[in-house]
Amino acid sequence: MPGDVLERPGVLPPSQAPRLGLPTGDRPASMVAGEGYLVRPEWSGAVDVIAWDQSPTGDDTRLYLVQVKAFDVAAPAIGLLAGITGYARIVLPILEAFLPSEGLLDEAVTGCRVLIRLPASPFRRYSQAAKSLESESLVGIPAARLRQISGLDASRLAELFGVSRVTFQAWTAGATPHGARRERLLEILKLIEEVTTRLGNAQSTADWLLTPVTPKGKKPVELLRDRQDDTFRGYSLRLGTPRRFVRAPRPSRSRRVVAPEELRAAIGRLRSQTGYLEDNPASPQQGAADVEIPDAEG
Amino acid sequence: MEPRGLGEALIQQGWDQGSLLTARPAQQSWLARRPVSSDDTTEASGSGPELWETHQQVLAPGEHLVVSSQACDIARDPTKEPFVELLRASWTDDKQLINEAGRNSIRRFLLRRRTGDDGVPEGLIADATSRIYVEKSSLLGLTPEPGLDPSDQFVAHKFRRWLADRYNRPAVPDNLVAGVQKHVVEAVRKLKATDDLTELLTGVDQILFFADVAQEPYEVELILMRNERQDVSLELDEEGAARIAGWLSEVIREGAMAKVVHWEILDSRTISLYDYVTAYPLPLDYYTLRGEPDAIAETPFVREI
Repeated sequence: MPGDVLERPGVLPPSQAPRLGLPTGDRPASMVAGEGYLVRPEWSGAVDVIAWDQSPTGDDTRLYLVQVKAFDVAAPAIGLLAGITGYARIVLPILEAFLPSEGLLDEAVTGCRVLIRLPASPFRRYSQAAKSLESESLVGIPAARLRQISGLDASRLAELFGVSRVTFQAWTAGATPHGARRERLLEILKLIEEVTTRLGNAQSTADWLLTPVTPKGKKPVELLRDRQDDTFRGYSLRLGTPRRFVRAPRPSRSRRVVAPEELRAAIGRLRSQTGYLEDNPASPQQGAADVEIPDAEG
Repeated sequence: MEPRGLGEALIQQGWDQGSLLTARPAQQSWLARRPVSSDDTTEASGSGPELWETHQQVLAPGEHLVVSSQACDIARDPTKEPFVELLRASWTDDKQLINEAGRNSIRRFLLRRRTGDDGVPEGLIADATSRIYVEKSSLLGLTPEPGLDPSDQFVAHKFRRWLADRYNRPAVPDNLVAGVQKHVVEAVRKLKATDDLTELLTGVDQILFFADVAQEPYEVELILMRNERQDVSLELDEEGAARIAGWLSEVIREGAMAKVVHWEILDSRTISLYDYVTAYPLPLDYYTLRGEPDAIAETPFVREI
């Protein structure tokens, strides 16, 4: 996509590009493997495609946000629709508005969900639907955002809230949890956002969340599950940001008793190294008098 | 007895920094300007000796006095240094007060603990804001009691530091009082005695902090100093420290002027000299902010036991 402005380093893996209907040569060379990327729309007739897909290990998800020209939208959309799951039904009305939907939906294929966000023009007649969808887009759906930034799979995240994987996945597709669960979702989202900000990416966040904080301690994700938010926050404050003031703990040292002979020898070495006696003829006696060397007996 | 020998005799008798005296009934004195009539011409100069008078307050029956003078000052020639300085001290079973004094309060110091007749833990607390001077010769006939646990050298060392720290620690600037200390003090005050955070905070001897005030929110780094007193049973571990740091960071963040970006748990053996000397102490029991009345814990300090 010539003219695209890269806002976040990332890459559209070659294996995914054809699936999205995009030639691989269009991705900026500066993108880094394993990252999602965001492309800023440059004309009103553009569409942002937000796609999730499984990582190679199948353990976490990655986000891809791709912009395609309006007149090219049919090609990627057809490709995407082939992989749509039930969660993406919300976007179907929009897709169907300009695509022949018949025969395009294959719910048996999992692992890829699609949202289409439409700008005002040339799809003005769908703007209301687009606005509604946008408000529930990645940023607007807390569970989706949580899944994106935490790097954790849905099962693990569902555990945090004491709900089933299916329920959590419904949350990521826009279903709204209510009451205490919604409150908890927002609390945890905020805590993990802080961690991701410090660590820089979802994979590092996932690694940290699943690593015990001390040899026999809990994992951060278990602290969240047990509602030990203060402790979680405390540990997270030691991540990433280099300390600027506080020095690292110094090794504890016991006081060493120095024998008088050793002390005399050390002072002698210092004097010979600094040339103090030679360079300051007026004050050697004064300097010597300032040093009190204990007697060998005492 | 020769005057010079008096000071040395006091030392031989056991008087030292931290010695306890029960002076009953004793009085604390201070100077105050007496009210003057409008036609009193000496008022304008402010130097008329008749403007000042001595006020006195009788110490409560349960109060003690703890020696704050150093041994060398006690021993010094009474013609040159005639008084021994003491602070008011009192036993209390107020858990919050004991906890505050046991941490880095600039004004109060937990001298020692005991268990009362009814099984309730009590603390002997010295008040740095209230100083009394006693003539050295008056102490000669009295037997000092130990104000500090003689087996806990850390407390004796900390007491000496605390006495000096009242004047030599850097005052926390107003912007940091408003952005950091105020919110922490108010949050600590809201903690209940039964709150497990209250218990956890007994494992902290001092909280020190640095702040980058180039722009708001200020970036704050905290140092939690482990409490090394022998009479503190709780040994703060990493998880406990993380909980305190996480809680403090949220309290500070809610103030909207500062945010915690890092913390460490250290003790007197592991802190660097640079950190210890340059960090601001974070008193948890009071703050003073220009334009606001002093926010001091309202718990009455002096109680009858």
